[in-house]
Amino acid sequence: MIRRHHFHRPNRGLQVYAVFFMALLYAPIMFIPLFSFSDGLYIRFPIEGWTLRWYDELLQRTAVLRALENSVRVAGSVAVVSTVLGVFAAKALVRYRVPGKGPILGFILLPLVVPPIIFGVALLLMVSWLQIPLSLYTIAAGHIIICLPFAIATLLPRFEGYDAAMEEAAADLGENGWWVFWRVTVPIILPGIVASLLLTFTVSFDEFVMAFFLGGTDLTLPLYVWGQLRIPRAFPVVLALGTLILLFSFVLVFLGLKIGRRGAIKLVDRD
Amino acid sequence: MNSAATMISIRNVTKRFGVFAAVQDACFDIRAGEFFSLLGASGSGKTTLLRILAGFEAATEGEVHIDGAPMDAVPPHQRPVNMVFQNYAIFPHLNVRDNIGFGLRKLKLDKAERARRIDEMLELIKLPGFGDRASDQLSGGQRQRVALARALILRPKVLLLDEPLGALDKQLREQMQTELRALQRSVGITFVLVTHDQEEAMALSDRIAVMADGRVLQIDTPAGLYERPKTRRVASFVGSMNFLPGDLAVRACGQAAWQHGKADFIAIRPERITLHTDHPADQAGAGQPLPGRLTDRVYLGERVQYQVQLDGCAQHLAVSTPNTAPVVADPGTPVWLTWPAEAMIPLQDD
Ligand SMILES: Nc1ncnc2c1ncn2[C@@H]1O[C@H](COP(=O)(O)OP(=O)(O)O)[C@@H](O)[C@H]1O
Ligand SMILES: [Mg+2]
Repeated sequence: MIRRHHFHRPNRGLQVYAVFFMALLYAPIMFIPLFSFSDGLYIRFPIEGWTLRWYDELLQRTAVLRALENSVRVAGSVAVVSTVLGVFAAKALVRYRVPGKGPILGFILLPLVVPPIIFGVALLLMVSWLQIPLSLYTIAAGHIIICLPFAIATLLPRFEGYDAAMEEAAADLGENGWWVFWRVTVPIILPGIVASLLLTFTVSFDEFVMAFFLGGTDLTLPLYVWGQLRIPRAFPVVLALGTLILLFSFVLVFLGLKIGRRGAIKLVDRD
Repeated sequence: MNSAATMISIRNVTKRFGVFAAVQDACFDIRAGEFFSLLGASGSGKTTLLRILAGFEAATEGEVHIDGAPMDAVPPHQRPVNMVFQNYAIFPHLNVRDNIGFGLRKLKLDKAERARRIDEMLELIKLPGFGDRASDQLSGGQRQRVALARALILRPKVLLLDEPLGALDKQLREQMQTELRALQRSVGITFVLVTHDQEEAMALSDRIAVMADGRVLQIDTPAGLYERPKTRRVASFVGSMNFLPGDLAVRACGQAAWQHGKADFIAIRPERITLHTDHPADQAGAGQPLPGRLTDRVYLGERVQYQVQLDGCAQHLAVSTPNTAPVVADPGTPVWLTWPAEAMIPLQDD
């Protein structure tokens, strides 16, 4: 048994705080899965009985499946495009002496803190000025703006975490830039790429505001949910759908973080 | 290959980062099959010069020829040189075999031939059976060997090594010095080594270029640098050295000794000075023994190092004697110093 230094000993106060924090954060969300299994039409205690029928009803609706397909297509393309752009941006920022690196980084990460509604309105203005019809493509374009900072923030540490001499060594051993990228850069940052794909997919999949402004007649899942909220009878079905989205997002983000972290540890442990 | 043939020709190479010149007007040749070292303190421009040879930096002025061909327009991946990087840059995602075989992709060898060449290298670096090790399961010395094998498997004309032994502890470093020297002899490739460790450079090299502040101060064999340094900086960088003004030297060795050179001062190696506890008899033609006082004695194992303050001046001299003839005298004891005239190296101010 390893005796722990007092610095590493569990801290009671901190544990209580953590539990309290998690409860505050997740208790409201937990009402959604809870009532999605409730037999009643209204949200109220006590719950009268348990059922899976809302889920069954959900899967009967072709509109849901179509919205799901749209969402997956948008999120999939957004994940790929923003991760690819993120790889080049992160590499440029870490590897080359970019003048004004600090401000550029701040600028890139700005969409993380600017309300999506601002971006949404701005993009809508631009799109209508250019007379581009609203569609899934315009939604995807908006999502790429939101997702790029996530991709870069996930990938930057991967580039910072390894020695540029690796790439020079590959060049020294006879590989040109393209092959250096595929044989050395990509494998080393792979955990970051996977994490970025998962994270950006989730962000796009769950995004509502941009989709609301930039969407045409094709709906994504969050837009579909929004539309259903006005129909009281449909509410339990929305809860069932919400539960599934929640579960799916949670798994993806969890996987993304886990893969990102495992890769990081492996690289750091090298020496 | 003729051993006198030129392998690398460095012609008036200057490298500036902004206004700062990291390498200034380097101009020398490296011969085929030679073990050549760039020796200098940290920041003296050694790595920059090596990276110019590898193609990772472009010279601001001047040009480099390797085996007769100009290298200006040749990118790193097409140069006939390979490099062992300072921290080895072992690919973390590949095992030992795939690290060593990394450069073979372009040769389009069949599987058996590829395996044979990798095995041959594993044999050469004395790590047979280590092929399937993950790269993070290697010790510092093993990583160094893998980096060597990875570079040598392509049979380059020149192998560049940037402080390859710097990360190893002293004992392993000495062992690797011997192996590196033997390896260079057996493969017959021109080695260019960067180091700040003068003992390492002396032990390994056929010739050494001493660098300071981006300039090459002197290029010579280890013995040449040690015995005939041209400037004070070289003299103090290679081994330890005493510097004394000319008049003291005249007193010690007579006018005759002073003839060879209009030097500003005289340099003498500590081990060339003899320490006497009794006043030695004057020798005909030589000067008088210099009287002084022992101020310090340091026992170094195989040698004993003394500090002597000369009477009547502030000058201290270091004296080093083999342990077989230790002078048993305590600090404060009067002593006398003598040395042969040929031990004196006349130097100009620089
Ligand atoms: N890419 C660079 N940009 C600016 N200065 C550099 C760069 N590379 C090296 N230098 C500077 O050039 C000088 C020589 O560096 P280097 O060749 O690495 O020295 P050494 O290998 O002898 O320690 C140092 O002062 C270093 O700061
Ligand atoms: Mg260096």
